[in-house]
Amino acid sequence: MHLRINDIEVDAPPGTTIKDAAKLAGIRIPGLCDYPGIDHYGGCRLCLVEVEGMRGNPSSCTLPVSEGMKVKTDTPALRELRKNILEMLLSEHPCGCLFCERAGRCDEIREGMRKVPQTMGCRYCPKDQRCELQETVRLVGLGKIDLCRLGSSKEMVRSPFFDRDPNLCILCGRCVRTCAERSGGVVSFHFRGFDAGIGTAFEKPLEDAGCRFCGACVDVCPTGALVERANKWSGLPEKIVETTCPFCSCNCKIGLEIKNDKILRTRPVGSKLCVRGRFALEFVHQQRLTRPLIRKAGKLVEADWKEALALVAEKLRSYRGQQFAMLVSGVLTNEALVAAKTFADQAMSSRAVAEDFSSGHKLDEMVKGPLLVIGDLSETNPATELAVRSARPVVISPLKTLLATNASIWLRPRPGEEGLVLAAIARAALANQSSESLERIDGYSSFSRALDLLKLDDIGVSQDEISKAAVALRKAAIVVSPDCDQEIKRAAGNLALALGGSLCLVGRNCNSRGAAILGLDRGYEETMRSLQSGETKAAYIIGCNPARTNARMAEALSNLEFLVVQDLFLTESARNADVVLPAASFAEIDGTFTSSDGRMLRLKEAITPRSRSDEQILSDLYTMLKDGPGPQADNSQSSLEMLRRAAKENLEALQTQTRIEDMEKTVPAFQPVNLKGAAKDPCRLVIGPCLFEFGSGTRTSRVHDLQYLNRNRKIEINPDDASDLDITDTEAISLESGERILNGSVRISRRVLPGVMHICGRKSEAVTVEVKRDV
Amino acid sequence: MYEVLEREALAPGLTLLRIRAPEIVRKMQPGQFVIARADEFGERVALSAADWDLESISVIIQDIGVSTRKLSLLDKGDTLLNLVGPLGKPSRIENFGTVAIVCGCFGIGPGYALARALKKAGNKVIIIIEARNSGWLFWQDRLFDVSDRLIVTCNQAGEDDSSATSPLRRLLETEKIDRVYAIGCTFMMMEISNATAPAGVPTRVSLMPLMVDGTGMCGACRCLVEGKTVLGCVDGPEFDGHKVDWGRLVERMRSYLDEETGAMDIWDRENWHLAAERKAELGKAQ
Repeated sequence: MHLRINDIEVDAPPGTTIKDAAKLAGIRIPGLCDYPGIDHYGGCRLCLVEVEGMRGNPSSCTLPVSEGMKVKTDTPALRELRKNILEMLLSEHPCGCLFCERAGRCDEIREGMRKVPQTMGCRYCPKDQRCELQETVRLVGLGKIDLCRLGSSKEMVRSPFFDRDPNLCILCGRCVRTCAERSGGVVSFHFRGFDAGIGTAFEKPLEDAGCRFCGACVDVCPTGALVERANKWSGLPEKIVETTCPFCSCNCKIGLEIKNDKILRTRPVGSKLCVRGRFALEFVHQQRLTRPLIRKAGKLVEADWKEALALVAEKLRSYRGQQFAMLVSGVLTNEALVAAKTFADQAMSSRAVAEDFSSGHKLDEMVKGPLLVIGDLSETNPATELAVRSARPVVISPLKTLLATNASIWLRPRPGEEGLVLAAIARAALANQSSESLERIDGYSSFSRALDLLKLDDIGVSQDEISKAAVALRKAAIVVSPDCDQEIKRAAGNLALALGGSLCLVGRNCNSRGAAILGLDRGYEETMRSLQSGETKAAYIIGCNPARTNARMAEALSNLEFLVVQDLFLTESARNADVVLPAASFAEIDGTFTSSDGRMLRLKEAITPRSRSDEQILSDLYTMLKDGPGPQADNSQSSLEMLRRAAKENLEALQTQTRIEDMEKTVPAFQPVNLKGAAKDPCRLVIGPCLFEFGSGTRTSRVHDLQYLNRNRKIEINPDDASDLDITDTEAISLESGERILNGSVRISRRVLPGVMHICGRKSEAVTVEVKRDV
Repeated sequence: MYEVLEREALAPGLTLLRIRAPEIVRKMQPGQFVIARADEFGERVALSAADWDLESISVIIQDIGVSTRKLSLLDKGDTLLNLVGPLGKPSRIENFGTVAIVCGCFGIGPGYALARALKKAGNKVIIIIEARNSGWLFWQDRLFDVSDRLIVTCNQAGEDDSSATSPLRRLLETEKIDRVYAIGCTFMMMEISNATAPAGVPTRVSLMPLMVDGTGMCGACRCLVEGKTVLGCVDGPEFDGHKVDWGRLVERMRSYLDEETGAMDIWDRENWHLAAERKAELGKAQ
């Protein structure tokens, strides 16, 4: 469309608003309620313009351009109008500092941290210098306010991670609209007139209203109404370093705001972050190990690097092959993983293993076609779930998640029968097509026979829905979340083959794909068995914490002759160690992760390393083991050279892995699956993953507000069951399942059907339970 | 010991506590203060006495840091770790004639105690109160009772009467004021002193330097008055406003700004939910 704005000819695609079209022409129209990426609102009225032939002054952020339109954005009348509107906004907003005669000079005479605890003006606001209202006052050229000022003393609303100051809210609605897109709308406008404000339903605390603390509302707020609590008063950062989030395989791009060699805050960089990437990176500054520890006379004491590394090299020399285990994980960079792999292969004649696996897949392309999602993706990989939600996939979920309610077809089986549903869809799909192409694939005949024998009439999902799904899912991509067990993964693989589609095994960690490409998952089960049987005598653990997740592993580790643990903190596993080596965090190193679609993602050093990098420690040890301790001239060089060459080769191999693995690699054959019907017991508990605890919880347990959110493990119970059992919301109960007892507090919720309950736990599964009240 | 008998939230961040302290109030006089500690890790906080009776003392706490935040979270039935007083030199109370007392925000508290005593001594008492926000003006009824005239100002951007300075200037032009008192934030007291200097009206200010022991041993509260080093806790806290080196005072008060901000950041991150939990507990008990 061709239009004219202020004597400038502008070309803009149809559907563009006048405000955005003006931006294309380099014309800035003020506005406080508009924000890229969320619905236009036209609430603040600052963006009013004149359009030839139109009566009145339309808001440029809501009016789309039309051919031949003539727009004026900067007439004297408009300028006056904008000043008046801004004045009205400010009459309800504490703005003493904006028009104070001493503006800018009071810093020298300010005698305390904050003169007053309530924000009375810019100098006492945590958003000072970062506020869009301040910027708009400058833009509009407002010099003073003649209107009577309405003071207000509403109380702050305090929640995990951020605070809401209703006295500063200008009711632009950005937070409401953003939240509607992200979480279905946890906050909205409440009350009317002068009492109007933003709040949750029944003014429940955010955590009880379904907020997941993604921080999107804080990002879009133009004033100091929503401010995060960490480093609230630290002002502008010195620099912003773009890097990659170190948690899950969504690999969100993040910007670290740095000041005084500290991470102040995180901001999204074209990404949609979750609570972990947005608020939980403070773990970098919590309880870090900075010096090596050596066990002497039964106690771990601080030592210097020379002594610690020499001891490790000396001890590890006496172990080889199966006697030695090296456990790493997909939280490490490619460089560290390669160093670990080389170290284990060449210095220890053994191998490094990791539990991680991720298939290679391109999400952008997958969402264009039919999709099936299985597993609670919103808890493990929130950004992926958000991307997938708008594609309206077919969803298999016993819980009523946001994804399920947005699904094109929602299959709701009984907990534990998800695998059977996958088999049922496969059977329906095979019934409607010729099996010629499939017969060539290994394992087809046993698969087909097993399907015929399966009893699928009573799984909580009707045959009709199964058939619909089978039709909808032809050539579909099947997305399996990382918490699903092996049986589900195999069943999904079989289904993918039957549908002629593809299998997408979402990785758990930020570099699960890198670990998978390096083949580190091969031999993992075997290594675990050797550790637990006692065949392994020594181990070197980097970036994982098996003692925390698994009591049997904790015991196995404590029985080792020699254990080295390399991590950021003194973890549960480290407490058993003979030598503990402190490592640098993701924010302190340069390095790469591999995304699931094969891209190399950069990590950039943002703060001074608190310790040495994993890569550095491993190369130093490698050199010492290969060449012995003491000063080396030529030998050390050649070992290091060899290591570097191996690293280079491996990384090059990673970099050329840009083509996505086709189905033949991911699912080479039909696999036998052990699918049992779930018990038809009256009380089934779904144990699922938790957004607020990641992996073994080593990092997330060191973030105060995540611990606060996990303080009462919530057991979701259907209101009908609650009334039958006569239990009330927030009551403390126990769930008994065989020998296992799970304690928590009741949360009455319609996310579960009658007869089903939900709790967060480390290992996803479905079990039968009995409810016990605390007597 | 030192039980909180009453708690009133006067405004967000401004709390009134009435604390049982019969020995302390026995000799309390206007212009004096107490030092309170909420718990083992709280700082010693100097608080001017706002009101007292035979068994308790009332203080007004402005929440501007970790220790004042801890104090303002105390509720009826809680106890302070310690309380010491009366400290400081009491104000000289006699019949001066006409006195003007300018109070800002939390200064309204001690201003009330001073006005009460001066009125009893026969003075004509004019009180001017200023606050950033109408929600921060409190005890107007009490001030009314102990004054002959009460002038209320509140921050209205761009207007003349946004602070006490203008009404005070007008007062000095129209009436003979024998003595002026200014109690409130340091900046306000400096402005008032500057306003009364041309007319040469004796002006008394109540300084709030950083203070630790409060009895003259540590030297933290040193101020420069008329070129001489004096201690805020035993020579003051009330001084001649025209003789105070304000620049030096503010410089010293800012000594630990970074540490105070850091401490607040850490404490708030770990304790922000205390107030909500206390409310919930009280709610459940009722």
